[in-house]
Amino acid sequence: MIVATELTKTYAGRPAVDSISFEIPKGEIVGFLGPNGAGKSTTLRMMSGFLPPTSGSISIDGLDVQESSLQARAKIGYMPESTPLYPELRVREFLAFRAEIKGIRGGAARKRAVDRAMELTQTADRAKWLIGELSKGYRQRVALADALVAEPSVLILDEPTASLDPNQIIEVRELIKSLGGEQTIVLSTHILPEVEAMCGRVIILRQGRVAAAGSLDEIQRSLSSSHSASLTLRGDHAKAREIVGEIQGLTVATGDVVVRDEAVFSLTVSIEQAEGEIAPKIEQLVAAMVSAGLGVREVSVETRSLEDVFRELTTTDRALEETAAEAPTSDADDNEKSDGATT
Amino acid sequence: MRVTWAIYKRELAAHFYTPLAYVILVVFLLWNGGTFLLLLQQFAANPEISGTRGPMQLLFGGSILYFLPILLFCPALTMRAFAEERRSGTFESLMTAPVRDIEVVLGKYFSALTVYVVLWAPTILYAMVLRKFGPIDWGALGASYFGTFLLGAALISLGVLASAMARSQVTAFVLAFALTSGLFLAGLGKYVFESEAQQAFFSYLNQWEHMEEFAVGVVDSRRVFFYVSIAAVALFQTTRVLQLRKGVQ
Repeated sequence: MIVATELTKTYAGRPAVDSISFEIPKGEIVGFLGPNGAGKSTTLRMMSGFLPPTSGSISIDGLDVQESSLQARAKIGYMPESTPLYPELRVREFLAFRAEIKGIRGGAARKRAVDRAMELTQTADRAKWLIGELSKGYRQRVALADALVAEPSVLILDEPTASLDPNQIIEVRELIKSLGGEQTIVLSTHILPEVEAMCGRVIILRQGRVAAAGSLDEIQRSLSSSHSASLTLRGDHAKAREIVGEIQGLTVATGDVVVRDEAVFSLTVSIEQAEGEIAPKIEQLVAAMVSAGLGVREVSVETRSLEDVFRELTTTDRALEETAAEAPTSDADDNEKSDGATT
Repeated sequence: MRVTWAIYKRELAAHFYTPLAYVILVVFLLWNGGTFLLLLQQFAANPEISGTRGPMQLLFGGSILYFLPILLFCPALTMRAFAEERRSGTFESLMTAPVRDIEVVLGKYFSALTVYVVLWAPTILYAMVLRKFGPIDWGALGASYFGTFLLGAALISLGVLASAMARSQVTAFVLAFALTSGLFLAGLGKYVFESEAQQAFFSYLNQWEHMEEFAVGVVDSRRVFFYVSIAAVALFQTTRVLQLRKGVQ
């Protein structure tokens, strides 16, 4: 269980993460989704205990990551975005070192842990390679193996599939999904389909704030009614409600009638996502109001910012597209020919 | 201790994975060999000067030729310590593992100190050579090595501190060299100031004088305290700097 309370981080007075709160139950796979610069990495870094929050707090299983840093860190496997590794070490040496500082005692236990992590991430064939000689895809997976090696109860993965080829992306997604349930997994991505493929829940960040949170279905449903019109009218508000109800696709947002003085009131109308433009609906609404003798003083149409967030997200899935196209993939870029054979 | 040991092993290996340690080792041995040769030639040409101080005594702290490589190579041994982790980003994964700052600092410190000891180890051969030509004061020689170890222990701690403050190895080196040579030059204040209090103060800092004491076999507990406390303060300060460095890229 991860609990963040009014978590804030400011850099030189500018908030990178602005008072966000969320709870992540045990065993869930949660994705932080947002365009670049939305505060995903900053949030994950605060979660890992590396970055002290400017204000607010974050705890893992009741342990504050700043106050009880050591105990909290013992529960975490964190993979930073840059996947930092020691290039002069061999893969096995590196993972054994990481296992040792993460508290796995005894050579035999360490060997088992390292073997398991390499098997899960399919890096065993590079066990004796120098990390500096590995391709980007392998480095990313070695970093993932590092996060997994001590079997932490919480995995924090910052862009876990960033430099993988499509086949590897699918493998890593399968791996992450298979780890869910046992482990709580928090990951970040700016790719919408990535969240669809892995995460039960998603927290959408925008400019350092939570723009939406919930299952992807819930969010999409709320998005589909994301347009609304605020009207300021003169006359009988019961009549106005009735008119709204008569027009297909329009509903009065509950409790949103605000009476300003005797005859003037305002109400907010939700416009269900119809195909095409919403402008004709507005015209129809205003015309009906006027012909019913209500005075229309003000109309403003609002679009929820969530849609903007979605527009900024990468909505194409490189992994799915490329494998669907049956293109010869792996030997295209670097020296990962052996991966091509796994498809 | 577990973490310190793990980091010590990795750091020690890292010293020898890069060519730097070998370069330092070779240059250091050439330098000390040259110094020893000069001293021997001096003694051979003027047999009458050999009083209480033989070539081994003069090798340790007898001239600037002893201090120069120490002042230069201690910063070189420590410049990688934290600066490289911060440059490459491994600092983030290191510090998010369940490790205490002091454990990391000590692991890195002792690995550099071990390389320092390895640098000096071959110079015992000089004593082995000299033994064929005359008696060796093993007590004084032991004290010389002890003093040299203490000096290194203090200067390397300053180097580790500098490395934690810097993000590039070059900055770390320059900063460490400024600290080590600054400390050395402060000791030379003894030859500048004249009042008794000033003399006493600068004499306390004067590493040249300390080493001349060690070289003739005098182990003064004040000297031990001086170097050990420099190391303790510098390493503690390093943990403080690491606290500040977290979250700063």
